[in-house]
Amino acid sequence: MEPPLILLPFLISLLIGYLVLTILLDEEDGDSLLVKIFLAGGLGMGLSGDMTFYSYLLLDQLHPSLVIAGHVILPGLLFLYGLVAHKQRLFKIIPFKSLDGKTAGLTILFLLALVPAWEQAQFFPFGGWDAWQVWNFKAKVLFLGGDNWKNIFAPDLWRTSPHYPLLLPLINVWGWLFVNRAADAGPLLTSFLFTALTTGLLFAALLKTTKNPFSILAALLLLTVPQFNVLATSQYCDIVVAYYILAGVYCLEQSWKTHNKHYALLAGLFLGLLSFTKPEGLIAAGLIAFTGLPVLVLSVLPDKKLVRSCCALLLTGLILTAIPTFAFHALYSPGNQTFINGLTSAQKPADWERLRTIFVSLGQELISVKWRGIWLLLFVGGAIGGKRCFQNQNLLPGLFLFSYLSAIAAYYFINTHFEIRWWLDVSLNRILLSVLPVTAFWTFRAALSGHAEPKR
Amino acid sequence: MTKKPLTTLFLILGIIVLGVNSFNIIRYTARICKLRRHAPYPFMGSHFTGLSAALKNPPFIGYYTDQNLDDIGAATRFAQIQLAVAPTILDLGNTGHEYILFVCSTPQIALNKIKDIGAIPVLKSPSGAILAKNPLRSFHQTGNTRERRDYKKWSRP
Repeated sequence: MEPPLILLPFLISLLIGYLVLTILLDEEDGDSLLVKIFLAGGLGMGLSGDMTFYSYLLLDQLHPSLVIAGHVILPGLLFLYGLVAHKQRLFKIIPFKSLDGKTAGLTILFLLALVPAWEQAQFFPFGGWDAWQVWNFKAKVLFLGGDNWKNIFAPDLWRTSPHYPLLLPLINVWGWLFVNRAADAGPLLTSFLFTALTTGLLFAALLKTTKNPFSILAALLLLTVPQFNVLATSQYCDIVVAYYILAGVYCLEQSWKTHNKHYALLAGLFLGLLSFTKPEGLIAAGLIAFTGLPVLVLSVLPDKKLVRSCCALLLTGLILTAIPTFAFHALYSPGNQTFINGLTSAQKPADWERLRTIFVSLGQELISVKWRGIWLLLFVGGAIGGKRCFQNQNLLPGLFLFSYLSAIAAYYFINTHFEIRWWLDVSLNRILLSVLPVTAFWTFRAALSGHAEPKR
Repeated sequence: MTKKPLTTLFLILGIIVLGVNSFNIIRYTARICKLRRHAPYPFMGSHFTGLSAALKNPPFIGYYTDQNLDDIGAATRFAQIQLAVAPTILDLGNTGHEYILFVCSTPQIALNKIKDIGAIPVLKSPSGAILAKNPLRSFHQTGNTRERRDYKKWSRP
């Protein structure tokens, strides 16, 4: 049993995220409070991961006192700024009075639905294969390796994917600093928290945008699928990717819908963090920005000043949290050791059979019993949503999903290093996990927006 | 059909799917809770926890096995041992390091290989793995030694 001290880093991260959101957003209703909490958790943990990385970047090894000092100074500065610029908002920091009985009841139901995920996390306390071989292995070397932390980038360690960015291992390193050892409970907690934050954000974002209590259904459906719980709590990075995709899309959409430039800044922050998760996270961040930015610009176009502000803040947020990504790729990444360009390779060419296998496998995976019908249900929701799926802010998730899955399929096709059936068997379910929450958000919102309750 | 009845139909379908899945997840969760109460998770790296700290965190140690890592069992063992001994990195197939871990099908195969390369067996794990020392090699010890655990279960081979 780990000491309660293992929770302290996560609470500090939540505080940092919550302070950032309180300063940026002035929404005070109960539904907004829930969204703020679920956005704050992921934002804070990501910022903690980034801050931990700076210790390696600037001082070439982990300096716990520096990292902890950063986590004291940053909330201090945020609090002081809030006191000067947004005093009223800061003192009403947790507007519990705005939480009505219905929202509170749904939240309790959501928390109960997390129990199976928690039990699943403890069933495999060391996580799954990639947790041993990639994520937790790197976290331990970063935490304990001293001067030798850069050994994780040795090209010989191709099994550990040395070209993968480091956000998740760094969050785990941060999680270990107060207990001063590589406790097994740290990564377990991180994976469970991201599972809770992802499904919680899905629920809260749908509730806020549709005002429909059946919004809880989307999160409950995910949490009652064993395949989702297994993959999400396996201490892999795919649930982290799923969270930041959902958060980035949601914030960008809100910027569009409410013409609030601060949501654009938040979107940039989340997309920068997404770029530091996995290579596909970098692709996803680029695609969300690439598809979202023109749509955002067009939506606020008459107001050129707002256009400039939104674009500037989106890019500012993106650059702020993506500095570790740039530094990682420029200074440390040995490049992908497991890539063969099938378009030019004579020994391992990409052929039509490979392409056919990709699409057939995708279809088989979507209707597979292990997903307990959830993808089929989402297709029905999308069909019922009809053209609402591509109207207004709903356009963004749809555009992103289409472009992202096309990019993933293209990568599977072009990289012929691995035998395609084996590769799809071990990775396709995780790709689908990472897009499941944003797909559920998209289809449920389109379906429920035709069934909205009367406005309060 | 108008949109509102279709949405209602979607919600009813969702609730039915949720109902069925909830029933199944409760049964599944009860099963895994019962299983874990009777049998803790088998982690092949558990006997190797603390080994790296006991050796003062060498950056690399050799890892020799007669098993094919295409075999899932051998690959799992390698991955879990690697996690347990991190930050030390297992250099697969390299017997030139000061310390080499022999994880073979039988201890006798390991001992034969140790004799072949002129190494000296140092410790043996309860699972039959043997740590050997290459008398001609040494390394500079660096790194964080925070993970000092008593490494008690290993014995002289």
